[in-house]
This record gives sequence, structure tokens and C-alpha cells, in this order.
Amino acid sequence: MWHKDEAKPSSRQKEDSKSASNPPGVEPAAAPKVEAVRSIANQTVELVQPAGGVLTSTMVIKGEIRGREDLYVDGEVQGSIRLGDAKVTVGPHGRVTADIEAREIIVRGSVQGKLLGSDRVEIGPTGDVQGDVVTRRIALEDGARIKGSVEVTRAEEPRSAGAPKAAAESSSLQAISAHAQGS
Amino acid sequence: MSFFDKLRAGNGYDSPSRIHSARSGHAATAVAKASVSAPPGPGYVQRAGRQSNGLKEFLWTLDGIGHGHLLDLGPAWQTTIMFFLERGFKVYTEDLLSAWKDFLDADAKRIREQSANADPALASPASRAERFLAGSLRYPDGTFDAVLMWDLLDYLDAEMSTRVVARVTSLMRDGGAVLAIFHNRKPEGFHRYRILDAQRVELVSTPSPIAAHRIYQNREISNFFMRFRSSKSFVGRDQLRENLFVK
Repeated sequence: MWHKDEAKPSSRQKEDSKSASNPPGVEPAAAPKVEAVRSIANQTVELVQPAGGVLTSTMVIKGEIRGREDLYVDGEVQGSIRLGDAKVTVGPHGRVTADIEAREIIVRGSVQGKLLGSDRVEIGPTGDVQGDVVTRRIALEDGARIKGSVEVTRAEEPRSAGAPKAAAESSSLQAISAHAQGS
Repeated sequence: MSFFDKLRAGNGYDSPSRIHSARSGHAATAVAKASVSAPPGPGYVQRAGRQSNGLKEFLWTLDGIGHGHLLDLGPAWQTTIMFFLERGFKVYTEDLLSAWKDFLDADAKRIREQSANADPALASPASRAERFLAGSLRYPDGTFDAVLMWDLLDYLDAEMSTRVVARVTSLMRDGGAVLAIFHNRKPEGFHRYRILDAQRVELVSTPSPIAAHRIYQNREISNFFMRFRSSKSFVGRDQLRENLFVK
């Protein structure tokens, strides 16, 4: 009978063991994030850990998107995307007809518009860009398609597309209009 | 440091002593045998690339241009784009062959759907070429200092080839250079080309988007580029003719 108490430590003991494994001031390791797997014709498998806003493949947004959070677009966007200090990822199902201005831009789907990446632009093997690319660093994977110009700027030559600065924008994503298409 | 100096410093490129006919302003044709080393095995070409005298001459011609504009009509390869970006060029890419394939597929589908009402005139090579070019190679005249055409013309029909060269000619500035490749015989496989360094081009085997293939004679090639001031041809042992045309 008394062995039960030993087998089941009290809540106090649990807290002690917890604090012993994690020194004061250090948060316990977060639970592993669930990864989403995407594929196109069984040829491309991509592990995505969306952080910030996510537009799923059934979403259509027409208008201007501004903010400071990362954005994952697997749906359709028509208008403009200005996330000055954040990352924009266009997923394999993403169809963007808009200029994109962000710190980092990753394209796996199709984009018609200018890409202005203040830090880097990456175009994956399924990426299709019709528009000019201006950035400090660029990465192209085999199979990437670009119809337009590629220009690499120096760090001291920040470019602006003439858009209002994203840092002064609201902290959350704003869309003028959004239509969720039902399946 | 000039463009050519950078190439020489970084890649051990040996400066040719002769003066370009293009710079002297006289039209001239020079044919030279390229010193292409025969690949010992199938995988060798992929790893080591192909010595390209045409590329060397192309880069030599671009020496001194500085911040020029280059149009690559092949796929967007990281190595090719970075090669020219690092040398101050603004690089434009437009994979014309893939776009032509997509256009032909869409056109064939449209014709099938309108089988009864289709206008036969739209299926003519001239009409096809005109409609395709309405959405391709749309740049202001005189934009480019250099164009990488690769072996694009071998895979287009004669009508398209003529129109593409005419469009490219108008897009180029005077003194600009085109690097084009032609096959002397039907190739065993389809390749894409990407630049490894100032002397080597890598041939990347890919599925051919266009089944048709044409072998052009020298006279036909000269007719395509008749508005250019000079041309040079380098024939390799692998039966590739690299042609450099200067406007």
C-alpha cells in the first residue's frame, strides 16, 4: 500500500523535478511544432512551420496587406503585400498578383508582381515569378522560373517601391477585403 | 578594375591579343576551332563543364561596359545570374523555350475546344509567332548590352526564329553582343546551359520541351543576324557551334 505513494510522486515532487531539470530563469523546452506537409504532383514535399498569418489555399484576398508579422500565403492575393520587416512565404499553391515588399520573400508558388526583399529573396523549384526582383541576396533553386529582371543592391542602398513604410503600420495583418471561398 | 580585369584576376583568363573586328567597326567573320576537351565519360561533362571559347569572347566583348543589362533567354540558374550580378550587370531572365512550349500547349488546347469554329489563319506559323511575341520579349528598344540566346533557335520553327532574332536585335544597343549556340548535327539529348565560370559552361540534361529540332547552315545563321556588324564562330569537337554576334 505505502508503495503507491512512492510510485506516484506528489505534485510538489513533480514541481521539484521540473525545476531541477530546468534551471531558474530558463523556460522548459517548448513542445515540438506540428509540421504541415505540402506536395505538388508528388514531386515536391515541403515542410512548413507557419508563424504569423496564414492564408490557406481556399482564401482569396483582394486589397492591401500591411503589417509586421510573417505571412504564409497558400491562397490567392490580388493587390499588394507590404510587410517591411517580416517574411512572406508564397506556398506551392499560392497565387499572388501583387507587389511584395518584405525583409525576406520565399516563393514556391506563382507571383506576378515586383519582389522587393530588403534582406533576401528565395525562389524554389516550383516558384514562378513574373516581375522584377530587387534584393540584397538571392537564392534560386533549379527549376525556378523568373520572367523579369534581377537586381542585387548593396546594404547601403536601400530601395523603396514608393510605398509607405511598413514599420509605421499596424501590428497585425490588415486586409481591405477578404473572401473565403467555400470548398 | 574593369570587368575584364575582374575576370582575369578571378579565373586566370588569358587576354587575347587580337583586336575585335566589332570595335574596329568593320563587319567580319572569323571561324576558329575551339579547343574543347573531349569528355571521357557521360558524367564528366556535368561535373567539369565544357570549355567555352564563345563565352570567353562574349565576356571579352563585354569588357568595359560596366553596369550593363544582360538578357538570359535560358532558365534562371543561380550560377549564371550570380556570375553577372557580381560583375555589376542587371540581369533579365526569360525562359523563352519553356514559354513557347506553354504557348503551344495552350494554343493546341484552344484549337481542340474550338474545332468547328477555329480560324485556320490562327494556326499559321506567322500568326502563332505574332501572338506569342505579343506577350514575350517586351522591353524597350536598346535595353540590352548582352543577350545569352544559347541554342534556342534550334528548337523554334523558322518563322519564330526570324522574328525572335529581329526582336532581340531591336532590343540591343549598338555594340551589344549575342552568344548563340547551334548544333552541327542532331543532338543525342536536350541540354540547358549554365555558366560555371568565365571559361566553362555546364550542360544540364533535361527533358526536351520541344520535339522538333532543326540544323541550320552557316548561311541561314548569317541571314538571321544580318543586321549585326560582326560574327565569330567556334566549332567544338562535340559538334556545337558557338556564335558571337556584335551589333
